[in-house]
Amino acid sequence: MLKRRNIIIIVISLACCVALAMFYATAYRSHILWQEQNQIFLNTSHWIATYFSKPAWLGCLSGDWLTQYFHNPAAGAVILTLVIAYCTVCFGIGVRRMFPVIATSVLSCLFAILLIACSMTASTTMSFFMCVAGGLTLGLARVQIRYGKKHGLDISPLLVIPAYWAFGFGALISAAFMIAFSSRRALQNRGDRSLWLSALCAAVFAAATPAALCGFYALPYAKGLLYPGISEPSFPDFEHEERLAIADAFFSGNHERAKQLALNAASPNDISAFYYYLSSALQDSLPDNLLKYEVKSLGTLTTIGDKTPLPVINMMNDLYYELGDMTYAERAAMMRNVFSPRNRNVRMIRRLAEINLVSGDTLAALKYLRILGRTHAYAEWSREHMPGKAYAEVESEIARRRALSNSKDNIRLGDNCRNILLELLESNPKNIVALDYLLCTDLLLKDMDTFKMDYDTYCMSKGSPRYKDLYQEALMIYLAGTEASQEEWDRYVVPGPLFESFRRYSSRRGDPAFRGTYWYYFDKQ
Amino acid sequence: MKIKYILPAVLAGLLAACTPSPENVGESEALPPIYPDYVGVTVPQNIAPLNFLLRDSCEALYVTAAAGGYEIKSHKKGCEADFDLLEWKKLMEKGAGKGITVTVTALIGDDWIKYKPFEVGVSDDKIDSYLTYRLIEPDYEVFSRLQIVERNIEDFSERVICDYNTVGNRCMNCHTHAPGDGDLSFLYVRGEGGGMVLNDHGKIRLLDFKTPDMVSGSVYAQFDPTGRYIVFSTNAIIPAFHSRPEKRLEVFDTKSDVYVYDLKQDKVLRSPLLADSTRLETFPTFSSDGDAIYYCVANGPVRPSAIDSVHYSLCRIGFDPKLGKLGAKTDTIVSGIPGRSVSHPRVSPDGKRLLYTVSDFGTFPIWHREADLQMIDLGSGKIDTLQVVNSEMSDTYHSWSSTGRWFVFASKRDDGLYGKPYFAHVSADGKVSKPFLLPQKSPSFYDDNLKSFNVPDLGPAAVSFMPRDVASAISEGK
Repeated sequence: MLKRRNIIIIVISLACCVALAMFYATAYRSHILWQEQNQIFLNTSHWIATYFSKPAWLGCLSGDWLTQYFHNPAAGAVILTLVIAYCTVCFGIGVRRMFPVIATSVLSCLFAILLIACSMTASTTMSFFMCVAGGLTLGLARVQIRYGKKHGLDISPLLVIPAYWAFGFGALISAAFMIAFSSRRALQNRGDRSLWLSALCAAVFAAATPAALCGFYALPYAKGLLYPGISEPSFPDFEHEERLAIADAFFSGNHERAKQLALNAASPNDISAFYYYLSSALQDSLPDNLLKYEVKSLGTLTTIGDKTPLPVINMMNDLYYELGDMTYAERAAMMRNVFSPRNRNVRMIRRLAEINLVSGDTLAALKYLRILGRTHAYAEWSREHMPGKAYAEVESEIARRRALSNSKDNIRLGDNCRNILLELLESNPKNIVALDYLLCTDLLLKDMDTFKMDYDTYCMSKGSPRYKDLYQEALMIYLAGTEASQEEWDRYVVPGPLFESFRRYSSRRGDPAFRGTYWYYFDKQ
Repeated sequence: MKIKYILPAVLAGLLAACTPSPENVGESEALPPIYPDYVGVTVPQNIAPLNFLLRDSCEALYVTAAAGGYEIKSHKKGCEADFDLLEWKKLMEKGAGKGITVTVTALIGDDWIKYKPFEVGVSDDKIDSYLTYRLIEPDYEVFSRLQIVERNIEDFSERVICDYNTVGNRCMNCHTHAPGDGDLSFLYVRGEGGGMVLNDHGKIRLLDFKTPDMVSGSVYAQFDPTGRYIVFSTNAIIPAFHSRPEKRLEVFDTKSDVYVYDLKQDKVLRSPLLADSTRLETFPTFSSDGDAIYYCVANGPVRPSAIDSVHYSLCRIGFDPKLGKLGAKTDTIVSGIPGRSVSHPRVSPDGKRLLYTVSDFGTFPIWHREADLQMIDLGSGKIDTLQVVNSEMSDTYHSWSSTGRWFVFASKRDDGLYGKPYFAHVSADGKVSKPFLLPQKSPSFYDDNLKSFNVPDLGPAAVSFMPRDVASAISEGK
């Protein structure tokens, strides 16, 4: 009977593990990838040595080491599931020594749910789970030791000290196990005061070890006690997952997928809109799609600083990189690095390498490529991009981007995107992405005078009018509003169905039948 | 023999056996492509081992360093050479006043290649043992998790003396020793309730000498030789960006003035000559005997669009340390002209020389690739352009060793982005040697490091405070 029950528990547990791994690998895939992209692990001895400068070295080291494999989200899903399963098993074994089977099962389930909930938080790290696992393992070691009066003084509470050194807050879990176990045994063996002493020692060591070492580690007590930090439980954040998926698709160069994900987003927002528009711009269709997305966010009016959410800094990095402004792309990448765990993340190191390759700063590019060369997942990418040894397609992509980049030297006091777009167009009037962003920003602001001026400067005077319906519609509004001469109309507007449509709209302004035209947007939205 | 002795011996033997040894060695006329570049540098005899790596894809490295008949070696798999600290110390003793010869033999592919040996000069002149610096990303606009670190340059030990964890992730900067006193120093913790934190031989206190008429709290400051006075500038600083990516940042002042703070009397000393609203006075420093203040000055106002027309001159004003009185006239030592804007003057402890930075314009040379160090002989006025010291990238943020025989500076020569501490020797007759990079235990440390060593400062002794002392001073200051 007991065997059968155990088999059922094992089968159910395995099924839960498979389901959880599947969930991470499919429904929470971008969240898994984000963990890897938001940090870096270098396979060098001195990088590993840096982990010893703070408590929880083993938890952080093993956590970061494992996270590098999250580059493959399926592998990440399996790793995270296994670690959660390990923690739950340790917890269950420990609790079973104190409680009956049913209570153990319920508590273990609750514990697993708690850990899974912690894994849903965007800021969670594998270090957290490894510290939990380490703390549970050491706590369990104490529970498994058979102890009685005849064994003399119980020194197992001393385990809390190395537990703190290796697993930070995991020591609290070890101590909690020890306290619970010793207290229960003490209640069972009323004459054994040493068990109470043992529980007391575990509590004292758990509280005193961080206090004693906070000077050495340069940590305030509260932070030292909970180092490297506790992940808060939360429900799955599918909106966040959606945003991450769009950004990942864009970063990997799959602009069509980014657009489709943005279009299908359950809750369109500034981030999904931003990547929809940027993907469209790179497909030469920003003017065609500007009015098709319900949220209007080009990013050209966004500024970044130390209070800016991390996804927005990522967005600005992507925007300026695609526009060709390497100064601000580098600024955003640096800023994003600064606010990452251990002040660096692999995505931005890669981007910094790309930026410096485009701007021709070989020494700086080499710096980042060497770092990537010491990673598990990006060593090959680093070799492909090494100056002088880069692949032909890499070289041509760099040359393409370099042709679009800024060659003007001005001093900028803030991130005024309009000025940046103007500089880019002065450097290279063929930078269509910059041109569309400039004109579309004018149109979203309904600033028709500026739109007309920009259109004249960068389209008409260059002898290359940009015939897009959006711009034609906007020009019609401007020309009608300024009572332009027929000559002007002939110069700017191509006769055809669009013009006829404008004539119809003029007599039915605000008619929802014209929803989707700039005229309707101008009047009604 | 007991098992406990046999086992390590066997393991050591196995490890050694795993590393291939040189055989059928071919000779190369080329110098080894090592990083850091220690070829032909001059080092103090009390420096830590000059560990390095070979910028070549080698399988193993066999390196010998020899002086006075004594030889040490590093024989390892991979491209890195590191030396035993005790053996290195002995080698430095043997080579002091002369030099050492380093021979690099590398296994590249299937062939052992012996590069042309190179010399490292070893000076009898010792350098101050402690170096402090701030570790910060090279984007001064934003920051997170800053630290000020003290490194013992005789070995590889370092310790954090001010940590972001204990001061609430604030900005901190510019740990500066008093001349010749390793444990009299100050640093800044910025932000609300922050200020200059004085370390007076382990007693830490927050100094607040900002008055309402000052444009800011103190920004650039230096002790006088007695440790009684601190000369400082207040600066309204504007960070800006160049649109050209290789130029990156530009930082300039719209206002700046110079004052002296008397620690003994808790009093700010002023002169209209140093707080002229039409001029920008900054980068003050005392002369070695304390009877003058050197500083930089440019004409205001500064317009961002015309920042390239702002050129700072090096000037001098008298100071009476007994009366605490500033002089009545100023002298121009080096004129600021187009292509030459002076910053960060530092007088050598013997008072004979003054080291400063020149850049094309402006006041923030760390982001000017053309920024170079220059040294003026204060007796003859002769300027040494220090060609052996300078690089294609920014070289600035310098400070003297208390002996006056060495200076340290931050150079971006390796990658144009990350400042690293280089040291140069100055002989008694003013001849300067090729500088060398602060050695690290792992030679690839700098490759992976993503922090600049900001404002390196040499001190003859370790400071005696801890991060928590700084935190206490800040919280008590509130």
